[in-house]
Amino acid sequence: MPRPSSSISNSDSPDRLSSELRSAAVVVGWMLFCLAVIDVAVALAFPPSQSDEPGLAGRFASYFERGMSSEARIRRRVDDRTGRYDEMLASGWVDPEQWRDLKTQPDVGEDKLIAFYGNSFTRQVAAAVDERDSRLGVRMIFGPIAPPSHAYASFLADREQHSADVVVLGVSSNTVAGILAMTHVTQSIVEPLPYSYPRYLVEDGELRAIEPVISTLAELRNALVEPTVWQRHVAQLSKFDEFYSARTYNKSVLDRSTLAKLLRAALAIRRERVMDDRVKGRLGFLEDSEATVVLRAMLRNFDLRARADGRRAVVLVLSTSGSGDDLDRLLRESLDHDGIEALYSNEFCASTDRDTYQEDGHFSSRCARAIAAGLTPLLGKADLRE
Amino acid sequence: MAFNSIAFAVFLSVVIPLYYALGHRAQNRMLLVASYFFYASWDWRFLSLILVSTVVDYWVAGGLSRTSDGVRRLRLVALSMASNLGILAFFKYFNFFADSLAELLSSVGCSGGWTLFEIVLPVGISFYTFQTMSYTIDVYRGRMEATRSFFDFALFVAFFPQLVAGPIERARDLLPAISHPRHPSVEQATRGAYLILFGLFKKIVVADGLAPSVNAIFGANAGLSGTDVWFGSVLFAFQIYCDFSGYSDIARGVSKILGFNLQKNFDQPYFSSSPQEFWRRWHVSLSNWLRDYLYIALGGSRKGAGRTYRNLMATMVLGGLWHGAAWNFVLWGLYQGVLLCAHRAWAARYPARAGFARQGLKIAVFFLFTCYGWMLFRAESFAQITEFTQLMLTDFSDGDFMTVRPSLPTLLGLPLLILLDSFHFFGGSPRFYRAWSPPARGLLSALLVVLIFMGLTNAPAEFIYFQF
Repeated sequence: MPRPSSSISNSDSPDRLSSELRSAAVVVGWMLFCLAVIDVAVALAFPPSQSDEPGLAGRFASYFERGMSSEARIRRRVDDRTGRYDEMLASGWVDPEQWRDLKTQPDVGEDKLIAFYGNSFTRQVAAAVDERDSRLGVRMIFGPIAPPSHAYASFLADREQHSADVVVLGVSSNTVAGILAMTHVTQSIVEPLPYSYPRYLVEDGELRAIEPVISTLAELRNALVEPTVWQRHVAQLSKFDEFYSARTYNKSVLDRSTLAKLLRAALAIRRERVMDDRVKGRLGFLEDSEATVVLRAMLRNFDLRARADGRRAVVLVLSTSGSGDDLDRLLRESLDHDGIEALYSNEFCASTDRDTYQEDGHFSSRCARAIAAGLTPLLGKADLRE
Repeated sequence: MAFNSIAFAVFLSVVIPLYYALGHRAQNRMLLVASYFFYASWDWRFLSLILVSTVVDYWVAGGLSRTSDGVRRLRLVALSMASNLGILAFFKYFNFFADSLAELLSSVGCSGGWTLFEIVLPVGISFYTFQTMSYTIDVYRGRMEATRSFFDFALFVAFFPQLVAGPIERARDLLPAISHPRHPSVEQATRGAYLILFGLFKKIVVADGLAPSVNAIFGANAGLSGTDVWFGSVLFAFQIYCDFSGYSDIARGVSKILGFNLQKNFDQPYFSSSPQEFWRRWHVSLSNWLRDYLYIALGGSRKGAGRTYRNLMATMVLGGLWHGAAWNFVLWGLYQGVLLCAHRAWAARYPARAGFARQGLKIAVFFLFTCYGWMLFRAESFAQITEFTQLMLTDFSDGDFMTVRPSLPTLLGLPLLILLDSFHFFGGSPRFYRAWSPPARGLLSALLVVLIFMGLTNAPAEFIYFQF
């Protein structure tokens, strides 16, 4: 039988074997040494404190900070005395105190006040409406990358604060999964914004809210110095926030290692994808997922409460890049069935068209204006069902 | 379980130590069980198809070795081919041909009310059917003896490192390795470990990192320029190369650790300066299979230029069809055939001239032809092929191709890949790094590890060739 070309044989010499083992061990040793040097060098060259500096160094620092625990990142930002994180820390809280300076009734010359609730996509549309029609006043409460549950909670908290004629609640397809969380921190390693919002559940057909332990920036600052409050906060996240993971949330000694942070960042991103899969399948949003059930219940309640307040309710169904008409298909039938007025962004700018979005994923100006152009006539009508 | 998954790492961490603790026969039995387990993790229902292929071809080869009657031998090998191609045709091509027929009929006014089965494509079917067919054909041709060990043959069919995406091994190479004791050296094991590391780097850092950018361009239905399409095609060229060669590297690396030498499936294909050279460097196991069992069977280049061109076209069209049940793969195969024929005719008339600059220019020009082919391969419809072809030939306006920018590890990894492949190409050996000092080798490995850690944040994409 000829010598098999696919097999391997060694020379069987013990000296050669130990020599090969020694060579391999030396290379592995150098590899581990280089890994340790890279770990330390990156941590020294791009410390987390530089992560918000302009320029390449800041971007590298921001990149490597991603795998730092959420708790450590929050603490670093809260403890910062330069003030550069103040706006970021303050944004998005469902806190009526923060809304005191917003318009509460139409200004002189304005016929109506429209109150918008949502995230930055909704804010774009609101700004375009404000610019387009001087007869419409705009009151805008938004949370960066906020899910529909944040918008709904903001609407509820804001009900007594204004005399708007129409309330608009924005739902964007990229944040539906956030309904399963209580804070943006657990959902993203890129920019964990610390604001919180209630976790809504549907029990026996009724919508029930789990209010967060920490619901304002002041409460966050307090919790960071009060271990018992912080533990209650973490326990609540552990129980009700589906995105929460102790490995990526709680601070640890691994926060000092570049390689450990890279692995942790990978774990966190994979978890985000797992959570997306709980909400969305290959053919679109899942009909029977918890997020879908809660979302539909929230929109029904939004409409009912708005009407009870003597207001009209409009739902903005905003499709983000790559989502096709998934959100439209998820909501159209139930919104029609419940008689809820809705406007679909896809009808004005297709989510499959590259010109619909800017490089950062937000609507292009053209698209925001097109949606506003479709929305404005509805808002201006005496009755939206005319 | 994909090679870049935690499940596969756990699987290997059990299989490899167990393998080294066992004797030769027990190793083979363990590998067979492990291979079936590996395949069942994809879809246990299709284990039955592998078993059918295994039993039929083992029996056929045994029959071939027991008879010298020409008619009977022909019938036996025909049975093997019918069985394997029948399985392949049903699972892979039934809906494709039914769809195409339905479209054709409805275009002439006959709508048949077709009911199509929802046929799931068994992973790896195109690879293992070709692999087992090569065995029976080689036995038929007298190139090798039929094996007497059913279990060794079963392992040849199902050997897990190359089961789902190749390389397509020849029985006369792999079977003797299975039937003889194996003693992997430390050097081979470390080479295997490096191949696994490099393969993971290619797949996780480069291929998965380029996927979103490629998807954004091929998924856009408006607003692209020709520059965008060229850019997307170039990115796809690197994506598919890293995806497939990365998988092959991991397969070869795992096999080396187990004491097997699988054939090299990729040999710096983008340094090719002609179509012939490309097909000696790209998916080598498939192109060799097509050459040995199709092109040569059709007559090869023995019957004059006309027949040669016909044989080349037939081989490449069928090679394109092998990749998938869609007309764009046929078109891609047709395109590759045209390139081969055209270059053959050109080279016959204008012999190649030497020169470093000339060679560099030929490589660059041929790379563009290759990228156009990849556009055909990746396109999502004929309408897109038409539109993109027009853009690529006429529109060179500024592109917006950084709308979906590759991630940081990909931006770092792609130049490193090109550098390492260049070392390989110009150094003449894939083991170019062995000439480096231990610190340099350690640093290279460390960089690959760090980039893999960074690349783990890329969205994992399924291995492209799993769909074939």
